Amino acid sequence: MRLYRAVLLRSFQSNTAYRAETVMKFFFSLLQILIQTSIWIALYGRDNVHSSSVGDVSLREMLTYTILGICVQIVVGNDIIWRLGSKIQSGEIASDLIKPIPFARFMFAESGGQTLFRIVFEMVPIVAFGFFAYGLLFPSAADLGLFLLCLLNGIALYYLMSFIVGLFAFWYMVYWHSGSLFHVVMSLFSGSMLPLWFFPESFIRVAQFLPFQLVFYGPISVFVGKTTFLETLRLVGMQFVWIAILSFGLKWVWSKAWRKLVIQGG
Amino acid sequence: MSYISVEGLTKRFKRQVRRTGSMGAFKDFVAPRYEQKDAVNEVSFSIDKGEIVGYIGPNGAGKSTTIKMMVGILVPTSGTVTIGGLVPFENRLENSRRIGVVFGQRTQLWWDIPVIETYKLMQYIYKIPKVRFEHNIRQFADILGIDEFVNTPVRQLSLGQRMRADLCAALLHDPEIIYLDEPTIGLDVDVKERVRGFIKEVNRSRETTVILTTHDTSDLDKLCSRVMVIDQGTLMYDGDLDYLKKNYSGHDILTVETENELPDGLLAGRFGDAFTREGRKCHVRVSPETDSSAECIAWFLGSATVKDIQIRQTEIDEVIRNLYGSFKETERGS
Repeated sequence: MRLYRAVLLRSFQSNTAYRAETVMKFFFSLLQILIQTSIWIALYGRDNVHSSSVGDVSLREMLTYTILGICVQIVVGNDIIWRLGSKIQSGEIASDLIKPIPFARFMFAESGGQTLFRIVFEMVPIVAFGFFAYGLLFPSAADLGLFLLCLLNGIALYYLMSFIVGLFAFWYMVYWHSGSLFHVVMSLFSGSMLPLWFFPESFIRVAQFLPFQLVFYGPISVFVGKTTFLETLRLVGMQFVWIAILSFGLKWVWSKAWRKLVIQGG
Repeated sequence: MSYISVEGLTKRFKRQVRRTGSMGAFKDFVAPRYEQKDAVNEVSFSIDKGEIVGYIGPNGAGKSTTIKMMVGILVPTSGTVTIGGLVPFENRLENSRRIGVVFGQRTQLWWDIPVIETYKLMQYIYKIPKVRFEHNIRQFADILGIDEFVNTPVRQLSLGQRMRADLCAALLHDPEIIYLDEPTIGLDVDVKERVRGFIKEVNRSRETTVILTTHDTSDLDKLCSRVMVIDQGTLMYDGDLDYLKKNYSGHDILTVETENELPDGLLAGRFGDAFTREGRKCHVRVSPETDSSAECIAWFLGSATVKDIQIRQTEIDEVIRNLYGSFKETERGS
């Protein structure tokens, strides 16, 4: 554990080396919020509520969903596909593999440091902005607790999925295609752009069986108070099941990739 | 039984054969052709604890591939590697605790943070006891002169500083074996000396086994008593360095510049056809069996007013070419 804490802190520290990048990222997120909220305000027009598959959704709830979506993106998001891909392509992965560390966990701690950094320098200002500009809704303490639990699981899920996709670079040596495909699929099925409430019935039925919605739609719905307690329990259960499945998946793909390993260069 | 034992080690890569031209590129896309290449072919050797072995060969000969299999990051196509009773790729974690690796061309240090932070991380990664860690840092910093840049982020270090920092990082956990892949590449003479001195000291005081690949002959002269030569995936020589040089290096090249041009006839009388002349410069190939550089120099000093003398020893790559029996007399004019 001490090792992972140390990795996390050093990763946090190395993120502080690039101040301009942080400022840019913050403005990027801010712009994203302004665009998305403007769209929703325009769509709602004079109406205060819209009906959906989970009942009426008010504009304020929708704005909360949107801003929260961006926050969740900051918390769960990582650049594992890109980093793993470039490590594999350049052969730098050799330096990691000659150390006595479980590689996936080490990378997880490293990306944790980055996330921590983004929470402090990107998410906190955004939440403050959202709170004052739009009056975010805050849930009850119980819902908030459940939301945080779902969010933690979401981090694990997103990490596992992106690591598996990133490992495909062992076979193809190019990684941006698989990366962008992953992001497209993610934003469609996860409800990060548009809540699943507004999708047709048949689409929702498919999305329910996939792990993507467990990362965004699930936790955010809990926060906005659109789920019953039983539904929340089901959600958490599903998350654990998918974490188990993906962990095995990761082990399996890793063992295959390991055999396939060709370090580039030399 | 010896500490490191490698037997019948083979690594076969599949690689695409590219055709030429745009039509060829199209064909490559639709129906790629592949060929099999043995990067390492039936290599066997054994190394005892505390040896320093130079593993040499031209670029692409299979050195790095062999080392990658020994450190356990490449799975052999066939054959076995056993290191202290472990099969590296099956016991990656356990094996990696016993080894230290330095790749001359890439760093293992954390890029954006000070060197010392990476060292502290190493302490956790290898679970180095605090006393041991501090003792090692102090000792290594002393020999390598690291203190001056230990608080500088790695991306701001010069190549020589980075190399020293990398060496130190690879040895903090008292590895039993260190693999050094071209540790002196691109370094200036001072730093090279320092690095060599360090490797020697570690080997002497800790009985660390050292496996070293290099293109620098003086690395071998200063460090290794034993060399292994690999070319095109096959191990061609395994033994004494002196024996190798004496028997395969062939000759020295002696370049003498004289005040006035020497007549060809005079030179031919002394050296036969083993010379070329460009104006006032003479190049002489000295074969150690029949002649010696000292006698040649004495002859020149006696026959003309000499302005400059240079002796060039055969480069290690040349030795290998000789060994391979494909040596052509093309290097004369250098």
